[in-house]
Amino acid sequence: MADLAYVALIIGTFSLCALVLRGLQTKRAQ
Amino acid sequence: MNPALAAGLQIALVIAVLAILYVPVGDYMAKVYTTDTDLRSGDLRIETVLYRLCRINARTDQTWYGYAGSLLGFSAASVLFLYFLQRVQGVLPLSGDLSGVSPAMAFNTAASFVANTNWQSYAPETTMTNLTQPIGLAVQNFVSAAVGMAVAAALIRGFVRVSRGGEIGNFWVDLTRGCIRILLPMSFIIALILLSQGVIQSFDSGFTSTGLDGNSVTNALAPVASQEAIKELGTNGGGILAANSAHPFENPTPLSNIVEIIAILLIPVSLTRTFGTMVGDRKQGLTLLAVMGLLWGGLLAVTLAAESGQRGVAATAAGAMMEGKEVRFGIPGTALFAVSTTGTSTGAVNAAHDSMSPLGGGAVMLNMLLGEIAPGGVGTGLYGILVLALIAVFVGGLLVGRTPEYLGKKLGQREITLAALSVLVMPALVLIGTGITVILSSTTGYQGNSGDPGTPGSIHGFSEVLYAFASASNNNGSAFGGLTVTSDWFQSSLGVCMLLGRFLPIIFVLALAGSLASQKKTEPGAGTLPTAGPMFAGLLTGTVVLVAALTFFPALALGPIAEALQ
Repeated sequence: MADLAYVALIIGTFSLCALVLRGLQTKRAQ
Repeated sequence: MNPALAAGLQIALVIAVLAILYVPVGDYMAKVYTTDTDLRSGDLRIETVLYRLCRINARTDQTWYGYAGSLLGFSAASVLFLYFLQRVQGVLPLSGDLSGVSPAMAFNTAASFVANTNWQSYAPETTMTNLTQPIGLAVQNFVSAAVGMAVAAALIRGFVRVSRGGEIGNFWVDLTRGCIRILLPMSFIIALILLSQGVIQSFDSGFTSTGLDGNSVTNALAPVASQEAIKELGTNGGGILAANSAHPFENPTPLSNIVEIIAILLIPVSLTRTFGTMVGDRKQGLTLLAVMGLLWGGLLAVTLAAESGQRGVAATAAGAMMEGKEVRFGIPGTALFAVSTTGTSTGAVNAAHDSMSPLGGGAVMLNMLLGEIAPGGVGTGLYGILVLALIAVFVGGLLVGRTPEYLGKKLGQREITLAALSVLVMPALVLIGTGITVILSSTTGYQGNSGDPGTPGSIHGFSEVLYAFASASNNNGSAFGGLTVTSDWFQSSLGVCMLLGRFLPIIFVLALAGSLASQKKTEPGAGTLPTAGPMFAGLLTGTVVLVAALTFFPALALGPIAEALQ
């Protein structure tokens, strides 16, 4: 269970970074 | 020897060696990172094989978006691999009698090593197996450093190139070249020098000896020299032995101490030459170096003065200021190491920073809170100070009515927004992380110096927490060791700070590089603010100090400053 939580934390943190990346790209395209 | 003379000689030796190596190392790195596609015919055979194995098209450049995506994907995969490697190490070969690392510690360590922080909440000798150390942690020592240098190279290309699509290089090529052409050969040379000083290199598990008190002691052995070299050169800092560079097997002599300090500073310092060479104006690089040197020298002076301070005849006679320091390094060797390790993103320590005087401890903490640009981590220092240079140009331009442009690239709304976001990530993480921690009653007990509010203990306990979040968010890795950080809260929150403190600024910097690369170059005119020379160095230094002072003065006042005034 703890493993799941920490893997989710890793994926969640990088997903946040990916969202920021995507947001910057979209804003630039506009 | 007179301590002042010892300090002067050690500082002079470090500066002299760096001055000798500055040009050859800086120009060599410029050659490595000048990766226009038509110049890639000079790829080494091992690089070609690696590209083919990994199906990388090394002849194509990436846009900033592709570059950042590759970097994030590589880093996410690295964290997951390192996490699972630690979890299952007990059933893998070379495990000895060690079992898997706990989930919280595995997360913290994986985040720490991939983010080039190397914060260690564990004792390496009794936690990591002889398989996890080389194929997990040591590999990250190389690649995480190469990632930082790659981002710096990409930002430089942003200033140099004029490309409609905003291409800033190929991440995989930069990563491979950084490891193979820069970090590996230089680490090899440094490891040999450290071996000559008595740093050990052994795969034996350890030996038993009898102490002066007659008790039996087990001494761990490890392949230290090879890991010590990249630990310092890559501004990593994670020791293979728990006592880090205070351990006589990692740092046995005053000369090895100097070699390690030079290794810490070499790449960050030389990258300013790389920058100057690549942009075709070496004075630009020298100006950045002057700012880095000024901040490093200033904080070194404060730390040396604070650590050498007389605290009364009895205390001086008893060697009170040597508490927490190694006798073989003394106060000068300790202060020099402490300022160099916190001014870069290294975090290796040769003394207990928690035992430093309030002002000395505050100075090394401030060194991190400046954003680690004096001279900063490998790559991170250069792109960190370049972002601040853009802000200085913008502010200076507003003050005197000059056009905001840097190296022929105009600084518009997008560029300044990205630079500001990049600078704001770290303070937000440090202050929010510290704030939440100190109001959580469950965390008070983890402070080695906790106490009732307003008592000396509670002030130092606050400093310990502030130092921890400053270290994690700046990817430094050193610690005020009085704080116990093995609880789930610290493992998780510090781990997240390390990842966000590393990768959010990188995304903003790469977006900035792409934006700059897609611009045409404008020739400097009468309205252009000169960015090389003493005036701009002063403006940039002022900007750095003001940004840090305005952001962190309240927090520092509650910790080290309050402690020093007691």
